[in-house]
Amino acid sequence: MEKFVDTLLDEAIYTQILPSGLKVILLHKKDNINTTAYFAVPFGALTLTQRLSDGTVIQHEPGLAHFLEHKLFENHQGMDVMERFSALSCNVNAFTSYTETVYYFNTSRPDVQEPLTLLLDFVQSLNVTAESVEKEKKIIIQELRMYHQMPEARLMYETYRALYHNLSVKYDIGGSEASVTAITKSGLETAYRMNYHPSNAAVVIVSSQDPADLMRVIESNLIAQAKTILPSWVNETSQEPLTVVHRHKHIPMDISATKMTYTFKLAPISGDPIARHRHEWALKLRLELLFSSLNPQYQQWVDAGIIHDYFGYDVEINETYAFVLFYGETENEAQFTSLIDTVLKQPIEPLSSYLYQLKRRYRSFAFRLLDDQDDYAVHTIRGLFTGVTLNDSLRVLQDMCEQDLINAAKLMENVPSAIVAVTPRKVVQ
Amino acid sequence: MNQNYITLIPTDKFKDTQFSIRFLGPNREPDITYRALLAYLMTDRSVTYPTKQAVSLKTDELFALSFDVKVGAYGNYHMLEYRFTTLSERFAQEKHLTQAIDFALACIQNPLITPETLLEAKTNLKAALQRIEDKPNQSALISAMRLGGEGEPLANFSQGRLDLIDSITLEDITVAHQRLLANDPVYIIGIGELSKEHQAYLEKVFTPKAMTLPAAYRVSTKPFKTQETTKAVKQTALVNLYATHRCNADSDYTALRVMTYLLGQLPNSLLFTEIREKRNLCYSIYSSLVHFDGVLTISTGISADQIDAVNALIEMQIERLRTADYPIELLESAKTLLISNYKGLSDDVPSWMNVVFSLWLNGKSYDLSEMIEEIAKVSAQDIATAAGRLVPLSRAIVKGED
Repeated sequence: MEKFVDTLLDEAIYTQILPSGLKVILLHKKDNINTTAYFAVPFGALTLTQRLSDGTVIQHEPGLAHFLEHKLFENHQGMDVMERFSALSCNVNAFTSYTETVYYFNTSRPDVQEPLTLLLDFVQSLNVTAESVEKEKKIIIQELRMYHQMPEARLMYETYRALYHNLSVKYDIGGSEASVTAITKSGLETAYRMNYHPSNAAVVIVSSQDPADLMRVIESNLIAQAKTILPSWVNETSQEPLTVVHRHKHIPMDISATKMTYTFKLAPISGDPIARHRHEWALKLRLELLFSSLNPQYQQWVDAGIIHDYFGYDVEINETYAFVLFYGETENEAQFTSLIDTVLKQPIEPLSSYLYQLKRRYRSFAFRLLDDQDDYAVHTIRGLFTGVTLNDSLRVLQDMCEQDLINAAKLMENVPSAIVAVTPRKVVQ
Repeated sequence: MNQNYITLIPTDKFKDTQFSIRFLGPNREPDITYRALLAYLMTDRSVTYPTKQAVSLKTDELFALSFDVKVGAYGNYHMLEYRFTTLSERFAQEKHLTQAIDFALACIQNPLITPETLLEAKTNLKAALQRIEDKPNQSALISAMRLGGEGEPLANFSQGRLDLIDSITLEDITVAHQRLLANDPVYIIGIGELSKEHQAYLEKVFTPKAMTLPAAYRVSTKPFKTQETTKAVKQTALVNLYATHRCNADSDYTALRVMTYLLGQLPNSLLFTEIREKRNLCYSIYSSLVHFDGVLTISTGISADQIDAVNALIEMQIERLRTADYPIELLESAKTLLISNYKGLSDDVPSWMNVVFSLWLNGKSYDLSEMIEEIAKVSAQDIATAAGRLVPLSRAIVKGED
């Protein structure tokens, strides 16, 4: 087990790779009462096509990773996993994102051997029947409906659908009612075998407990010595044209105010993840200078009624897709998009003197993240899977200069855009 | 009453230091909407920092000081809370905490109240209330409380009323702000790297004021009311509201807390097991307590054609609690999990602050071992008694199309 003391962040981190290939990271928080343990696999909603070394292509139904997350809690060696965790004084849950599935528990009990073992055990076996798969479909369809009628969630879903022709980001994380209905027991088992091998997984624990004790519990588990060979496969990504599907799309909903996004579809950036992260930071900082209250014009946009406090932007740049998204609530989308277009053309230089304070802001936010066990752990898991740690991110931030922000504008030159709005039904003709 | 109005908990456990300053006003309209607007004004600009840019520059200088002003209800009181977080001085390597407190005081004591800022606050509040109303589950919850709490504080939605906003004047808000500073009992809690100097500094600014009413009350039993509206969505939101005849000032309230866990706060609670897992009628179903009003709610999202079936199943689960018709292990796991959650409370600053504040409102202090002891004592008979007191007050349904 390797120990790393981060003097900048005042954190102690222990890491080890077990013989099975399982990556373990222990984030030691000496004063914490709770222990939170996470088991994560880099298998999320984006992974729909996987090609085996013999050329066989495995096609997963949209929403399968999320379905699998639901079913793993079922019947581990004849017991209900959730009931067992509750009896052990543990809160247990899981989530599926576009890029990973994560199972976790937290507890204040001083001895975590039993719940930790249970976590490692229940993710090592999938016990489903065709009947239980059918039953779960009804629950998941209710879950999809719940999110689908939330205006914000629906807006994001429709935005991705307007941007992407082929990439699986165009599907909801949970899939659609049709794709969930099409999921089968054997489809779940195939995906499980391919993606839940320890060599593909990570365990992250945030705890005050002795790291050596925690590591011993993990090492003594079967997961440490797993002998099965992980099938060799690669994730395949669909070819995606650099055009959008819909330039303009209105979705009527039973709501009282229009919400919209104005999104620019950027070219994805492959290669070195740190270099990619540098582009993302540069663009984020550029937008922060132009579109936040640091820009003295911001108040004029509010006074003119173009934006109010429900206004923001997001930047995402990864290997397979990239975008810059603006969102707001307005009945006048032409005015909104015109504002974005105008401000994007403004030079950054008059505002670049604030770059130093933005760096100070985000450095402080990084410290803040460490006070939240969940945020800290999830950030660590993503850092492990993407190759960009919190320290990497801080170093990139520290190195940012005005020229980086100027250059970032090129990423948005001549790229297609989409306007998507969820609108009150009465407004739609 | 409640003279110890400043609680500072010194600790170097966190990287940040957090403060919460809470003002307690009357839980009635139009004061609630005035205070909701004041929350936006205090978040925006102050006389000292008269532009959004000036606020940003100052908060960045104070190591990404984050602040938020929120309103909420605590029984007979409406609370306006100014909460801020700033980097601890040992990481900032600067002595900036007193400056951070001064910044908060500038927002609280001298928000910029002008026709322009009020108009902006009104726009923001209207939009926020519309967003809430657009969510079927939240809309159903508000309706259930309005029906079941008629004539009592529970009926007032703590975030304000859309129909009152336009008629509110600059003078209304100015007077409401003056009343808040002059009359409201205030409670302050800070957790982080703090010293006696910070306590003394705050004591000079804020003086103790007595609460004129107890915060907690028990909502009265009324004839059962239902409301059904329709919405062009697929899922139906259902909220049932019950009078518990106990509020969190009562000595036997802990049994109700455990009962609520057993009923619908665990992944193996009765509602979850019977309605989701066994019959697959919903994705989410849970029970929760409105502690200061003596009310329990049950919320779920289902298909419209299952409303009657789900209501019948809900009543069956409550009856099981009344007759102790459940595995005793379930009660034990509810108790141990509740105890575990209390033990771990001090890892989560916002939750810790809320618990300490709620206890203070009821004239109690934070005593973990006492809380654990009370939970451990709860028996199946106590659960049956608590469940036996539940009386349905209202039901709100936002009916979907499927």
